[in-house]
Amino acid sequence: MPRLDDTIRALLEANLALAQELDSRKVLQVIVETARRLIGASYVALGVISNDGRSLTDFVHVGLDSLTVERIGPLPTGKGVLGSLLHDARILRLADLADHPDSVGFPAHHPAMTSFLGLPIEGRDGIVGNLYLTNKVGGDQFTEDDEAIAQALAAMAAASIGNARLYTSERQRASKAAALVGAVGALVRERDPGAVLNVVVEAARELVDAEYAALGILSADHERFDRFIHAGMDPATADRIGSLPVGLGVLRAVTIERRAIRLDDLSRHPASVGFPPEHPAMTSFLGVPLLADGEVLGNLYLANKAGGKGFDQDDEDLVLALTGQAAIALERARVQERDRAMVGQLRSLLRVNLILTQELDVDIVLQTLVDRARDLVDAEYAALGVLGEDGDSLDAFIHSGMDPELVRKIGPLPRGLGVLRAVIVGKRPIRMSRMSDHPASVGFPAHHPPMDSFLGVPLEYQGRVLGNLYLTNKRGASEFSEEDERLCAALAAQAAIAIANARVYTSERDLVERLKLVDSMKNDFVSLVSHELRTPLVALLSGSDMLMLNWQQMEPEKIDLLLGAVNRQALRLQHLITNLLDLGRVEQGRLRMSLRAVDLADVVQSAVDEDPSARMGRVSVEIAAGLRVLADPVYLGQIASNLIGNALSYGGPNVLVTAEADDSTVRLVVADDGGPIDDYVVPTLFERFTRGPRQTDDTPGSGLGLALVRAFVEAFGGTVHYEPAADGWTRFVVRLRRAGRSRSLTDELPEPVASDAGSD
Amino acid sequence: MATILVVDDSSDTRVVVRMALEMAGHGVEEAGDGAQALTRLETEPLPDLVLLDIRMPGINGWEVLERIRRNPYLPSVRRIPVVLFSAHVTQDDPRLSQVDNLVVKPFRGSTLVAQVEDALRR
Repeated sequence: MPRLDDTIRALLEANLALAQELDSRKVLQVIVETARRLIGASYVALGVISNDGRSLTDFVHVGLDSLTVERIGPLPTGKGVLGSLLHDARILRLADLADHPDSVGFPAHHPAMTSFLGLPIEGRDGIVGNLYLTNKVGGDQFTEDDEAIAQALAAMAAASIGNARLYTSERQRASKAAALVGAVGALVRERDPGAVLNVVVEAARELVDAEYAALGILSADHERFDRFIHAGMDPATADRIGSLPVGLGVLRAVTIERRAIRLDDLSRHPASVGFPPEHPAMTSFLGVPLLADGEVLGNLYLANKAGGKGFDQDDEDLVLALTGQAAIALERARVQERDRAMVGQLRSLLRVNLILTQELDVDIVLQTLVDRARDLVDAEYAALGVLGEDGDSLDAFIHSGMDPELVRKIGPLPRGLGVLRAVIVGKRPIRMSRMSDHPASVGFPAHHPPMDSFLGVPLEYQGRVLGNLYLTNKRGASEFSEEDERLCAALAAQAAIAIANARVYTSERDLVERLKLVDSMKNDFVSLVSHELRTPLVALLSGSDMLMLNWQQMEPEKIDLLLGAVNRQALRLQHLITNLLDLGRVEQGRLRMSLRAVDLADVVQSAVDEDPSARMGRVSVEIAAGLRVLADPVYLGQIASNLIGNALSYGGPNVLVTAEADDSTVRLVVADDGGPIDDYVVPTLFERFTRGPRQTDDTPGSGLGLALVRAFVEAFGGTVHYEPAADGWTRFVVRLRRAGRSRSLTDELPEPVASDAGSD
Repeated sequence: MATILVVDDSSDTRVVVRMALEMAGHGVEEAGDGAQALTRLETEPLPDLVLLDIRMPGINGWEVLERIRRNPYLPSVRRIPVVLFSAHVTQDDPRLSQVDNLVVKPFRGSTLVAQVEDALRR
């Protein structure tokens, strides 16, 4: 029996070990050895029980050699005497173990035991193990002192076990926190929503030691699961489970109640239905909703916590923390996806805008808009109709998504009756899933591709509808969305602006062009008239000046020369002024004219006879006698004279005048063999002061001859044109109204027709 | 006395201009259009001054002026005094900077002679 101070010293050493040693097993070993030494037993053992009290997790002993320990086999399960120690916090001190009614369960190879001292190890929350000693050395049985020492050592063991447990659970928490942080990190980095879900499921299962975990994402209507991701289930089992769980039962309860449900035994929950028959058996269960912005996206559930235990509050907190992060990651992924789609749409709109601002050709702009609209809303077919300025017909019809062969088959432009008309008249979008449902669904041509879903928007600009844009047969959906409608409305607004701009641009450009033309014509005319009027004045003014000042010193020949020039230019000026005035009057309808039946041959022959240059005999007139036309004989004579004079001056040398007649018209043809007129002169041949390249101020004529011819002919209700002939003869052709064959004027024209609108 | 080349497509105009200039003591040569004027300048001794109409068929007065002023070989050609006479010239026409004087048709003989002699003195 050791001395008391030895005893105290040994207890203190054991205490020191407790304070200094972190490894609980070493502390327990010291306690067992100290007990054996202080109390004197052949065998001492200490058992540590699991949290649930059902099994031993550790067993430390002294007094047995290793061979014996091996033969004893597995740890004592804690039934029998030791078991009673665990359930009943009483100290058991026996002279002979065999006397105890519960003395069973010691393994076959356990050394024989007689005297026995066993006591429970009580921690703060109950019994955590037991300590027992057998076969008192040097005595029959253990004493009360032995019991007191053993109690002190048991208390130390309790402290050590408690510390160890605390340490272990802290370490576990720390490692779980680290795992959670790792999982969240993965979630933050992960952009693919599918991968986010996988990370969540795997991480949740590991964090809470579940046998398996599964995550379901609800469809938009919350009626079914869109996706179902699982972990811990072998693929064969997953296959056997088959289609996604419909999410009735407990999972439905999780999503509806929006809170975690934690069950030790799933089968006891009233809503435990809906798991497929092939689903592995589940006892412990933890289900949490996936919430984002207060909206349920789905749920995550875990089953069968390792060790047969139930999930605890820690597990629930961990999983909630994880799903919170997952929901954020999912939401972010969704927003990013939407942003990406929106950026794509914005880019498209920007491209459209760019084309709008850079492209002046409205057809190209509209084609781009139609193509873009079709792409953006994923329609099979898109078309844009532009109303005419009258607002009643389609001016243009631009389409996208039809092959040219089909377009050819459809035939002429849709008139815009039916639904398209409804879009225009109603000035609002029409969107429907079945085109034929609309009461106004008529007017599409026979070969138009079949149309189901339909979206039509008006092209409105400043309150006026300029046309419409319509799209049909949305791909991958039964109808066009509100978003589609908004996009198309935006594009339609762009189209309307483009059309309005194009119209303004075109009309402004036309106006500017017309004004420029008028201005340049005016300038040209002023310049021409100045030149034509002032040129004769040079000779008149300076010629008469010189004669007045110097006639006395001048030789007679020079005086004759000057007088000739003055006289010629005075006549020229008179001729010019007369022609100009005639032209002005006839163009303003103020020339006094008397239209009647006139014998064409007579008038033409007189004109030839009166023209001195025509007397050279190069002019032949071949006109049937008695052929009569409706004309004023004075001006008809001037027409003939001008044309023949021109032919002689600029063409020639031979001139042939003929006439052909049918029932209502007479063609008077003045031809010469002088070859064709220069091409650049032809377009302005009948304009005032048009002159060919060979004509100088010495060329006879006012530059008004053909202008007058045209004016007179038109006043008679006829036409005149130039015909360059391939046979080398150049022809001027005058078409006149034919007068009847009767000699009587009154048969033909009851009264002379005058185009006289006044006098001047 | 100077030699003056009169370029105008109206023969009556050339008659009165010739007389006015001859009475003032100058020698006159005539050309009926731009082509004749350029041929004359190419082949005959240079005149002291060119009196040039603008509106003429074929090569007009402005083109004749251009060819005189941009002559690549002879500075003496480039420097010939030119007096324009025309019925219609816009006063701010930039090409007017290349001529020595401008006489607007119709004109009195004395005015024409004064403008020609003014150009000759420069």
